[in-house]
Amino acid sequence: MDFNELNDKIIKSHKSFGRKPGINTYNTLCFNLLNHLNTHLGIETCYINEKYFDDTLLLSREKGHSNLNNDKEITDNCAFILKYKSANLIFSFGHQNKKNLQKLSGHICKIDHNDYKSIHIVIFKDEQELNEARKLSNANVYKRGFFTSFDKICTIVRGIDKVNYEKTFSTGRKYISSTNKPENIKVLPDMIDSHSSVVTDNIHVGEKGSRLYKLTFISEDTIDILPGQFIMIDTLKERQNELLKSYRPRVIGSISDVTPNVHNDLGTKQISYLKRPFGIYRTYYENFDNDYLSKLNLEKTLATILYTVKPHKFEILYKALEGGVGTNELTRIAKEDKIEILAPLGSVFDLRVLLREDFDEIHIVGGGVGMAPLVYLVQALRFFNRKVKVFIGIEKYSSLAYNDLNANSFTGTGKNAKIYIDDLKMLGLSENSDIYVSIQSETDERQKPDIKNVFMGTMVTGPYEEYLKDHHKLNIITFACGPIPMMHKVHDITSRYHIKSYVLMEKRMACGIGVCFSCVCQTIVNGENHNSRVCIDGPVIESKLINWNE
Amino acid sequence: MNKSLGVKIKNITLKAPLLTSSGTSGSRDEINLLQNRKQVLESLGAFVTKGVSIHKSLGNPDPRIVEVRSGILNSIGLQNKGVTRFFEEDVPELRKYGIPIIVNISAATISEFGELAGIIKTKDKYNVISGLEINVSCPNIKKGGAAFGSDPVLVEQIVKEVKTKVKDSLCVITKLSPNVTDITQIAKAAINGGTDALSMINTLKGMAIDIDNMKPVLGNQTGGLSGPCIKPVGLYMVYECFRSIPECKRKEIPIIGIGGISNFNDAMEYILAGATAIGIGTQWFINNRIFEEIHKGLTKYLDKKKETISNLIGKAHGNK
Repeated sequence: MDFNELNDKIIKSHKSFGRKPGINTYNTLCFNLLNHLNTHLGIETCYINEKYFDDTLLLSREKGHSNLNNDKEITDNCAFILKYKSANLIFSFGHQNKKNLQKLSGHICKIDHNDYKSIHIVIFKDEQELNEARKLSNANVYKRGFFTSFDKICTIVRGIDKVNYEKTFSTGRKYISSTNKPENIKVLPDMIDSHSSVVTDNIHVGEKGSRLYKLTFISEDTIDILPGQFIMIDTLKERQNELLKSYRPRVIGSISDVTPNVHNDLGTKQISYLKRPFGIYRTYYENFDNDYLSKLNLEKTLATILYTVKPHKFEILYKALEGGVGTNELTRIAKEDKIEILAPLGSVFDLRVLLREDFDEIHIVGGGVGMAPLVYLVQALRFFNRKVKVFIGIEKYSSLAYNDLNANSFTGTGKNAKIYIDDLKMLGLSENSDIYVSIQSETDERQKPDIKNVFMGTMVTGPYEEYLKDHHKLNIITFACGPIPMMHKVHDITSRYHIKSYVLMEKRMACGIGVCFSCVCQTIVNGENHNSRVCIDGPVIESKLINWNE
Repeated sequence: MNKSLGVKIKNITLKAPLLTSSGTSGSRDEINLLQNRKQVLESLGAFVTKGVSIHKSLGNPDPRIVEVRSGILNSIGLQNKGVTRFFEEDVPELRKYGIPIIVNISAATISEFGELAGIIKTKDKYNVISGLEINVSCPNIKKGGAAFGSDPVLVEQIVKEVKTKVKDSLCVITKLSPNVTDITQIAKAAINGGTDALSMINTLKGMAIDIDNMKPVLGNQTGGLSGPCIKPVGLYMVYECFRSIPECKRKEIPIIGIGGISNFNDAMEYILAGATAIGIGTQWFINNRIFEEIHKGLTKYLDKKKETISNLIGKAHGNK
């Protein structure tokens, strides 16, 4: 049924209509949602504005639903207010006048003072409208708003179809063109495209002489990059030059194409030809503070159906490899330089579907710079309000230090700022109970670090194994990224305790879109050997599928 | 649609003289992942698949790729899932592209080439496939591959074998290797075997060595060189075949020019050298808009010159 038609029908005959709960219409769904939150989660609900909704539908009114006096500021917005724990959830409807919604969302932000106790959730009639709302241009309309759709509410109200769950999880992008689209994934991922971006910072990280850098850039469009997905960057600064771009060679075939005096030994030095793949370290959202996830405390079931405006600012952490061409070119990129990226790449690893199973703890095991894409995974997990334990392996304590204290993208709180640790804290993890750091060097030149759980002279897998010895009875899922031997070890440890684990693979790549077959890794699926493409079958791959003896 | 861009490769009508190159555009629906998928398919004259063989092949060991100056070396090794699954899984998707599909085929023996061509002809119930490109030039496989491509007798036999199986139902294109003393000899052999068209060039054999561990970088030790660095070689070979082979000069046997094409300028050079259409491979890895850009460039050029592609094929010859 068409939404407007439905809307009409509801207004005209809302009373008789409303007495048939269970009819698949949006208002019954909304009331079902309220009832669900009320009966299962003990959340007090009330609503304002009776215009479209029949309160007789509130089945368990006596259990906690109540009427709220119309607030002058929030009239005509068809809003429900849920009071849960110490927070208010305010629902309004996407088909309302945009100006009214803007007013309402502004009002909510004003009373909330960035406490994230009043959360505005806009319900859209379908996935297309939901996708539309997630554009950057709407960031100020639904200021700090969370979005969902009627279909998505259905999935939590009616419970999850087990068969569909199995079918849809980790299906990659293959369903995009197939006719039988799995029903659960309605918001299609962003299509792959080139995006022009402006660098806001490119700073050195780690001890003196370390080759680690953090690059921050803002894309001209928002890009919905999911955790585990990656981007490819054209690392050569000169290729971004507008003049060259208008001529569009994209290939610098001879020295004369490049501005002289950039590489002193350019005559013989190799310059990059292909783009380079990088995982995402962190993403930023317009109107959301950097540390909002440490305050946000969404109800878990609800969180899996909520979306925000798409991100437009991204960070990557990369290591300039000795003798490497692309990564060293990237270190020459400076603030305000343009870079071109291809994104989002990688299979659609849908955490939302995975998280319908309620894990007690989610474990993150990162070795060295392999920790970088896992920080973004933690960011997503924190949005879904999950309990995360992070195990980091580094070479020396000083590997965590920021060198450039004046850098803009510096997220620390003083001169002792630390990469990974500070970001994880901002995401709401506790330094004392959620973060475990293993330091490879036996005798670090510095004083003992000010982190509680530190293990000296060991690889990350040692303390992780110890931790599992005491905690393996919990319902756990593990994600690991780092050197191959480390991921192999994590696979061995987790499989011993029958814990499901995923790894983020990395390989030499050329195209990033699955056409060149360069980046394969050996897998065994149903007893048959395969060479799976890391770029589109991964990079997130369940560890038991990988042929570790390769 | 711009009519001045249209060309014909035997019975295949191309709305534009642009093709994907085998092995660089996947074999299924990978293009559909792109935001600009519509523009890509609108710019393409035909789609050439990744190499298909009778049996599944896992391909070569890792690492399979290394970047060199202005190009790449690869040793993928014809990884594919075999012709049966190709028809089950990929052909229905390829059909949706709505453009002519050319299947690149490879085999280890002459009779296997014939068998594979026969299977494809039988299985193609919906006439999705317009042509076959015989791969007698892959430098990365031990059996067959380049070993065939450098022997004119074998090339003639293979083409004959395939042509006997498919008759005129499918356009047969022979893809030639540049790793030979005289490419025109091989081209002539393919023509004697009955090929409908030629495509050239495949990758040039090459390698890279890691001076730290003192070993070849590629898992397969050697690989095939592609990218902008090979353009002058490919261009020369197209020019030479067009110049010295009467069937090519009379445009009875069209040439598909491939090798390092990275922008419209390169594409036009190949056409002027004698190519009827051009294939783009490696550049597609680094620029997802390359087909649109070249299409646009060609259109503009033809408007300015008040010409058509057909008129300009081999134009670089003859006016001394």
